[in-house]
Amino acid sequence: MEWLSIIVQGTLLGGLYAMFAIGLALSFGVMRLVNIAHGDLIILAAYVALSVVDALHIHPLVSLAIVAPVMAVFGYVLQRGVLNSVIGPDILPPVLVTFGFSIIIQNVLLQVYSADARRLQAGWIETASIPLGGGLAAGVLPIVMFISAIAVIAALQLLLTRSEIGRSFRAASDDPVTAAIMGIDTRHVYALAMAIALAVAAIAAVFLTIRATFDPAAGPVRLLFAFEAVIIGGMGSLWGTLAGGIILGIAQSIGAQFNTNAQILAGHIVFLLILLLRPEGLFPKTRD
Amino acid sequence: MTETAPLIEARNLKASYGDIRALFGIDFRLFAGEAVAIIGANGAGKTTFLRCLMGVVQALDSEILFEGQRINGVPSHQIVRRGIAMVPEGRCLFPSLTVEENLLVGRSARRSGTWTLERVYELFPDIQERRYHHAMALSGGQQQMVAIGRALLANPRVLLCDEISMGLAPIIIRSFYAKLPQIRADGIALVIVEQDINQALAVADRLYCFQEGRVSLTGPADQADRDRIVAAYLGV
Amino acid sequence: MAHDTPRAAPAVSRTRPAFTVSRSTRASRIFSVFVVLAVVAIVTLPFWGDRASLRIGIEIAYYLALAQLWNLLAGYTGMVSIGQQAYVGLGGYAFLVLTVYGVVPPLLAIMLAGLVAGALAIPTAALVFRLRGHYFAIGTWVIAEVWRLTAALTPAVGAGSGTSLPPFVMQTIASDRALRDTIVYWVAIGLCLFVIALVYGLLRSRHGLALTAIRDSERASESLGVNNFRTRFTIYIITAFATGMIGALIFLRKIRITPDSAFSVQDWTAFVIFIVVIGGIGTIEGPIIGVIVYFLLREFLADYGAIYLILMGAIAVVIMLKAPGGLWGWVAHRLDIQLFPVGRRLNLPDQR
Repeated sequence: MEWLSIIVQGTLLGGLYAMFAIGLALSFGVMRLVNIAHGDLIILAAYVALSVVDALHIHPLVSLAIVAPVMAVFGYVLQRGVLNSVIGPDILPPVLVTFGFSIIIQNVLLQVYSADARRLQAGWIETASIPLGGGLAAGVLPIVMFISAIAVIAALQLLLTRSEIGRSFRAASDDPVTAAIMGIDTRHVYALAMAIALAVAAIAAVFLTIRATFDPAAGPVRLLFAFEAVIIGGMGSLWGTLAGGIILGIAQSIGAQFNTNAQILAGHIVFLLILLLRPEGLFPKTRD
Repeated sequence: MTETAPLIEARNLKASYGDIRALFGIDFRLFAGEAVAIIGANGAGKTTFLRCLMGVVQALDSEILFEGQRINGVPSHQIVRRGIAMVPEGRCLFPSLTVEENLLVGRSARRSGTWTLERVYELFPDIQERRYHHAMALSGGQQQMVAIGRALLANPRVLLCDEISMGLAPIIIRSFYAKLPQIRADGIALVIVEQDINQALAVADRLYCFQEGRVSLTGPADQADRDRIVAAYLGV
Repeated sequence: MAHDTPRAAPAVSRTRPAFTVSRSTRASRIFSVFVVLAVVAIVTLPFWGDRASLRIGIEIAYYLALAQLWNLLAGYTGMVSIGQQAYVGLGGYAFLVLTVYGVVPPLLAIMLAGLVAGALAIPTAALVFRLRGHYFAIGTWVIAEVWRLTAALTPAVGAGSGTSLPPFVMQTIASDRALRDTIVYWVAIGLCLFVIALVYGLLRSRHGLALTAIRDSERASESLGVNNFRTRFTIYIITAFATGMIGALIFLRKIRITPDSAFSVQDWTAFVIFIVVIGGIGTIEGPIIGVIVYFLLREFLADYGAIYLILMGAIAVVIMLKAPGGLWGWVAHRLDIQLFPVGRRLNLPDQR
């Protein structure tokens, strides 16, 4: 059942892509900032995980306990210190500043870690698989990634709808000036949103380090995957981003039957088709 | 008789939108517990003035004092935390939030006081029924109730009301103004910006008339002479 | 129409002072003289420079042209694209196909490659214009990647490892190497001047005001009746055409083409953006300054590898945050000059 296997692989891969995308969706949703360095920040988190694992000899998944908070703090400082000053109606500064950061991060990583492709060892979880019946099997790692994606999205939805900070995110997103005159410190709120975005990016990054090789230049392609998942799924909806990730994952799984370039190209083509046929995405919320 | 210091004082307040000057030197005072009406035609600068008080528009080399402290240059979220809350023109409710969530956002100022969610619902029972509806699904009058309730939940010392009667039916407007005494009972001072002169004068202790960015008339509301007001309003 | 007012004072003292709108400033007239001298020097370089300086000259010319074009898109029209490398690569590959399979003379092929790139920009624009702002930027990058991957999957053009321009193509230009270098150099200079003239001409025309209106406020210009979509679309296609020609030229100089080098984000977008931002976005003078700074930095820091990219990125970020007008913006603001008069200056009577 070759096709079914492809679809299952693709769906599970979609979980990882959704996690790539959540940070991007969150920062755009809350503060209208599209962070072109997002992919590079995922790779930065991967290298932080690498250093932590090398230094402490712990399992990559355990390293998350350090990597996620570190990236969260980094995100808070980055947003509050630099990115808050480029948010505004003009799109040139945020695009150029985040693009500049993308170049800087890639080359700093290159200097510090060299261009060698790296990967982290995770033991049995890398190769173990669970039979699904009918001769079909799914890897334990992909299943864990997918479940994590669902857990992260559910947690974020809960945060957004049930907590005070979630209310502040939504209010600031709707109308930052009125939010301020109600007492919401938007500088702090935006910084928190970026902190959460990068914490999620850290989770995705750690999975990435186990699943595939990575190198300093691996950031931009992740940005494009994240972006495509958001657009396919529809802006404004976290569950939509999961759907977008799944569709992207399936498209890529089909392309992967040929070669790596075809895999990535298949994803791009599905993205362009959605852009052509249903530009608002598959499950958009009505806000812009 | 001792002179009490004003709660809010603006001296020679000037403000611009980009290159366009909007306020040319406003002198304004508000004392604790009183109700002041600001009237004037469209574009006279009334909303700009309130936005200066809230830190949304920057005042240019002039001073605004609240409880004796400078508030120009202070970010808006800190001004509301100090005790000035606003019901903005056009209500500005948050479309993604329900009625109750909109009200709760008013508590972001973290000020303690007598205004709670329950008390707001007592003041405006209509919105309690709809507390879980999306805010924009309500009628204009109900939305205005939410906007006022949201500002009250900041437990302010001063409430700025920008054109709360705009677009509403007279009977609803009268019901709002009928509730103002309950709000004032706690000692909240009111600044009411209105185009409807009659309602404003009925509740206010003092009045200011703005005309093209300047104060053209000020004085106690009960001594207001109709003809003088019309003249000051129109700038003749 | 703009013209200089006569110096005579108004005869009647009660008339209100007249505003004049003039295009040329005194500084720009002096500058024109220098431009003529510089152009002469540049054009005659083959006679007094060596081969290496000709190659650098070509590189400066094409970077300057790319910078002017990116600036036209982003600085003037407000379309921030990080996917212009698509047209560089398309121009290069089109040139390959035209000269090798079509046996088209190389110099003609440059122009045809531009037309191919411009033609392919039409469906691209139809797709990518559905996105706004930041998302438009990333969308253009995706398109460029699609082309890169397509080239990498096409065996006829060498697939992933690319291919080289066969010697006969170069021979068609001229059989003598020195003459060939000279011709390619002059083509490069000519293309660069053409691009600058194109950008300058567009901005001095009535389209120019439309462009500034678009950049300054999307909504406002729609209400003024400027047909946004058509203007942006046209500019995008023209820019793609010119970029495609530059791509053909680049490949002609490099001889070797691979998908990664032809569609490189770093070479054709990152460096170009750096040049424009450092020099001064939204001005024609800016990219000229930027290209000089870029080549100087490259000369001095080439030995330090990645450090030079980190430095360039950092400088661009700092400039965007602190001095968004770039070096030229800072100079022009201080000295209040404009060498390429594309703005309209309002001359108030007391400033004459």
